[in-house]
Amino acid sequence: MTTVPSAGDNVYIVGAAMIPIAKHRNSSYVGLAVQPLIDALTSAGVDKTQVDAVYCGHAYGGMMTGQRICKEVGLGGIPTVNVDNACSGGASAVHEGWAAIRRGDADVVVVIGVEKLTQFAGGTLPLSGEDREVRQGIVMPAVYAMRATRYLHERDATVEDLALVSVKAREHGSRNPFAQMRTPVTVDEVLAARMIADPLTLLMCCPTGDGAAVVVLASERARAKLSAPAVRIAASVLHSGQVAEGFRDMTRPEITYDSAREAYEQAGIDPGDLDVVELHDAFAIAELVYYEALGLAEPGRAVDLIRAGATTYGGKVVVNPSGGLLAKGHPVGASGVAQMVEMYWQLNGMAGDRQVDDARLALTHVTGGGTAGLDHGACTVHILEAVR
Amino acid sequence: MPLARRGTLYSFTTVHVGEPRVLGYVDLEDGVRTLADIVAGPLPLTPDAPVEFVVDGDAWFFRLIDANLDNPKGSGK
Repeated sequence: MTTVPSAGDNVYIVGAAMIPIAKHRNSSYVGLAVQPLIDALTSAGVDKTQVDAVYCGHAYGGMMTGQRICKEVGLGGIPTVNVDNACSGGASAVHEGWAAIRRGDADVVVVIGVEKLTQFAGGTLPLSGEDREVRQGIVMPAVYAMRATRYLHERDATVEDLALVSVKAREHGSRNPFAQMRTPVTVDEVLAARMIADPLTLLMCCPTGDGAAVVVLASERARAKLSAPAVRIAASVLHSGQVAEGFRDMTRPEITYDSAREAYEQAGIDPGDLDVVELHDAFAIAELVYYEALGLAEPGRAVDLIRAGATTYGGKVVVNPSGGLLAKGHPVGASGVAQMVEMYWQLNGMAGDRQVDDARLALTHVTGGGTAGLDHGACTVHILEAVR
Repeated sequence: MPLARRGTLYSFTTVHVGEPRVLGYVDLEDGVRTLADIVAGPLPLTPDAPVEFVVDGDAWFFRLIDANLDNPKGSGK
């Protein structure tokens, strides 16, 4: 259901921090998250005694991940909830924190997103063996590859267009000290890389990495007592997938269409108003599909944006200034919070070499979870507004 | 409930994780979509190609109908 914000209901991000995404093989979940937790509280000017609740997004951290992290800084005696929604886990945790403040249950909420993917032997993300398609051999690259095969069949698009997405991501990532992949690549290099699930090569797939990101959320009255830079959460939307056992248009992911439409309505803006977007580019095809689903391009026109450079610096809207999941990296449960951290910096003019000029309105989008019969298991869309 | 044994190939990919394997979504004539292994035969796979269900020992898969002219085993009738 749509919740239309009323005056005084505002929720803000008042502090943010993350660690560079990388293969932190020797670190624990706790070790990944404690430093950004301390840094986010410090940047907000919030003492741990002021925190009313904690939400921790992760997919593979095991029991009590949030509590294991928080005990290290003496943060306890408050509601602490662990949130698993696969790739949407971190942003779902933000949504829960936002909702707790909106309900009046909390004034200050800490949201942690953390994941350690190097705990696995490598290869593709482990999925639930209870799912029938997983038992048949589906892996996430295959899902997106089939999307790509169909997209290239139906549209005036080529594998070079897919490669352009990766080239842009790596160019943006080269400016970001928090990105896992910081070397630019060419179209030829992307196309010549090892095939993972055709037409997707290795450089069209997000890397395996570890990371942690933390944001501090505050109510209007809590924020009034703080002096840290803030951004307003203008919309927070979380949807689950709707089952379809028959035909599904894989080029039109309705969970993202519907979530985005609700977010624009909640924020009272149009897609054309956005200055900067972080979207779920887990694989190169996803970016093209989501240009259309998020309303950044007319249906069928996504390739025009990537070919014209309309989604990089100097274009109409900068998409994935952080490098996105393709270059910044995608530690599953951390990614939604890491997107928020990037936008907190972008909207406050703190994004260094990758700063988007005069960024005032931002959108973040994560969606994920391979589940038979669903487009995706979960989708989270947030719209953030500068309050400078 | 028996399902239709013929359908069209909605999309497919060759997964190069471990041994290369072709997976695809088949839209059966009765409206059900199923994930399955796909066998091309001599013709290249293409979206919207007609395919049919084949059982071969313990294995089952779909293959292009055009690729099957010399081998009626998988005709499903």
